[in-house]
Amino acid sequence: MKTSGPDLAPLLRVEGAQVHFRTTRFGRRRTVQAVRGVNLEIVSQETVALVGESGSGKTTLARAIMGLDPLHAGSIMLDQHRIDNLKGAALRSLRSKLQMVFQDPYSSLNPSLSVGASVAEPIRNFFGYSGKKLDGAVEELFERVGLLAEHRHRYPHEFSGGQRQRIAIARALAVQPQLVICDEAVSALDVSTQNQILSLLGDLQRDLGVAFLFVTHDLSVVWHIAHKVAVMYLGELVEFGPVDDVLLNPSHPYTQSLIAAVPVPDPQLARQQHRATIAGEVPDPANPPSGCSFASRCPHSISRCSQESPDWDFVQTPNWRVRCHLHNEL
Amino acid sequence: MNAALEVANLSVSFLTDKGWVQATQDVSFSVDAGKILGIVGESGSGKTVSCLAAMGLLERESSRLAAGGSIRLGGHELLGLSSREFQKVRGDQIAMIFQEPMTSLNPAFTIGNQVAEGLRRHRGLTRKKAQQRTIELLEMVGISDPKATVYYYPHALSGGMRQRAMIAMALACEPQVLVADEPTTALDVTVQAQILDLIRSMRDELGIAVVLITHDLGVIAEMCDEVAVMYAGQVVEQASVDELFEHPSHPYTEGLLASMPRLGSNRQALGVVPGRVPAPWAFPEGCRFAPRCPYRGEICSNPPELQPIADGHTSACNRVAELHLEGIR
Ligand SMILES: Nc1ncnc2c1ncn2[C@@H]1O[C@H](COP(=O)(O)OP(=O)(O)OP(=O)(O)O)[C@@H](O)[C@H]1O
Ligand SMILES: Nc1ncnc2c1ncn2[C@@H]1O[C@H](COP(=O)(O)OP(=O)(O)OP(=O)(O)O)[C@@H](O)[C@H]1O
Ligand SMILES: [Mg+2]
Ligand SMILES: [Mg+2]
Repeated sequence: MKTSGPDLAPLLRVEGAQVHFRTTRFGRRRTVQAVRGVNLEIVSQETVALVGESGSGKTTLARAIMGLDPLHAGSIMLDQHRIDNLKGAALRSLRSKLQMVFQDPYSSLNPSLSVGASVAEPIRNFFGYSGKKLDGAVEELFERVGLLAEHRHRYPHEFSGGQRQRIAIARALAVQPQLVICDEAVSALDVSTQNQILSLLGDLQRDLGVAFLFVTHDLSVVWHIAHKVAVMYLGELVEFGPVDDVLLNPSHPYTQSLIAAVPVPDPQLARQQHRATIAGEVPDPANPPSGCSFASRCPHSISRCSQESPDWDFVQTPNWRVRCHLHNEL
Repeated sequence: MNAALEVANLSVSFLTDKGWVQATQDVSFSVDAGKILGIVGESGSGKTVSCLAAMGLLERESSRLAAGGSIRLGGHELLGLSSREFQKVRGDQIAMIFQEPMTSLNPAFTIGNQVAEGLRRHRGLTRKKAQQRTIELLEMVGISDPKATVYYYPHALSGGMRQRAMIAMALACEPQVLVADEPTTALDVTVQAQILDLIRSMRDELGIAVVLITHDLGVIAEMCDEVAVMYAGQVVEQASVDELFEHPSHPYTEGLLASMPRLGSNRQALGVVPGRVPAPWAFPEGCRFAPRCPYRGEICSNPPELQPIADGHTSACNRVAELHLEGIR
């Protein structure tokens, strides 16, 4: 997935997106601000990784892009068309451009349908294929994702986790989408199976030109597959830029501490490096702090940080952005 | 000196709808006081089953342990103990923590009650003394407000804090051995780093022996002194952590190392070991790894034995003498 095409107008543009959930906790009503003003662009044929700790709002942002969670404010454009306010037929036709693959493919596959039927369904709905033509399209997709076409008559439970993920990918690809959102799509798989799926995604991008928004918390995987990375903390993006820049020279203290926490798979290096772990826990998203979201856990924080929310600033180039008052001094 | 924990030849069978099937065969490993032994292998390779067997936690009706095995804790044989006697040892001298803390924490009792229970049962502490000790333990595992936390129910804690509470419970009676089954797999890297630090410092301060099950070679590299690699119910290689990463001597280990994504490495295609771990009723004859092995030869239809190939390094590969496998350097 490392062959980025030329710079084009963005395929996806998220602007000022906010998502709120009204919930009760210990009998009290509260509003969880799961996504708090996110701006994000994805160019066609590129892979953007979205990383951050549990609860930072990655899935919610992904679901909002898919039209599964309503926006409280902001807008989402796909191919220069506004998509966050679609309903009915328009929303359904959006599904042919935008697809999502989940961590647990079991939840997205109907256990009582053969996997071939699951893959055939969207093709029939979108392209109106039937009979031999439909069969041929399903077979082609199975081969495309590395499954034996004759296995299409089997049921989801007859497949391993990795194979089920291939089926879910085949189903997502059936409608020839421009953007596929993968939410922790390989997190539950053994590393070998994970790598097979990652290489499949790379092939699909090369051959079909799909863009990916790849939600994960595994930074080593991000390194291998993404062109750009967006770092999310408490509902906000705090750093965005090319993978090499962000992962090798992280500018935001949060990105720095995320990277420092990744285990070094080399016993000698691991012994040499003393890892500074970040203390504390993520603040309550129903009560986000007024200044920088990371101030309460940041080792460098000064009084300004807890008072004033930092704006986006460039790091070296306009492609690489960070929200930290101190990034030039650190 | 005796190893803190030494298990030998554990062969576990389960009663399934296909009859009795053997899930692990002759699994042996040992760990010394103050050391961390890692057990690594893909899903279904038998890591959990081996450790449950060593803890006497397998259900007696639907599983059995073949004769000839042994589980020695500080030199004392545990096999043959009644369930009751085994239970006495568990929690007191050997304790286990799991990936999902709610498998050990009861949602209906406060954290304080649950940590104190072991202290009262195994150590006969009074309610008051047990409560005091519980607060100390919660503080030791890095829970920020231990005096309040004793009154909390598990659901009021975050995943990382629950994991800490479970560790406090496991360590309450100062066991000699802690068995940790994927203790950080469900956690964020940042919380994982905190919990791994905690386990390491418990090892340093209390001198306990730790068996750490994981499928993450990064965690192995950071934490372990010794490593056992399991595949299809067998230990296929065992070595010190440096030796294993630099001079793997089983093709499966080489495959695992090559498939490890590494931040900052050059981005050649990630390695894969094609295929997957077979189910116990489908273990191949001969070398169980052979069908997935790029180096398989005719000799591999014979079952290999785990044999020493260097000081403190064993491998179960028929072709080990001819192969030059690649480590991380
Ligand atoms: N349907 C919902 N109702 C109420 N709160 C929700 C809902 N969905 C998400 N949240 C809350 O929104 C916040 C963001 O959750 P989200 O699932 O997007 O995080 P995430 O980054 O995907 O985390 P993870 O890595 O654990 O998947 C969390 O505080 C979560 O509890
Ligand atoms: N109670 C049981 N009854 C029948 N088979 C079992 C039972 N428990 C485990 N097995 C089988 O034993 C084999 C080893 O399982 P085990 O749970 O030890 O794997 P593992 O290495 O811990 O994998 P994972 O990484 O997924 O936790 C698997 O094939 C599993 O299906
Ligand atoms: Mg999520
Ligand atoms: Mg297990």
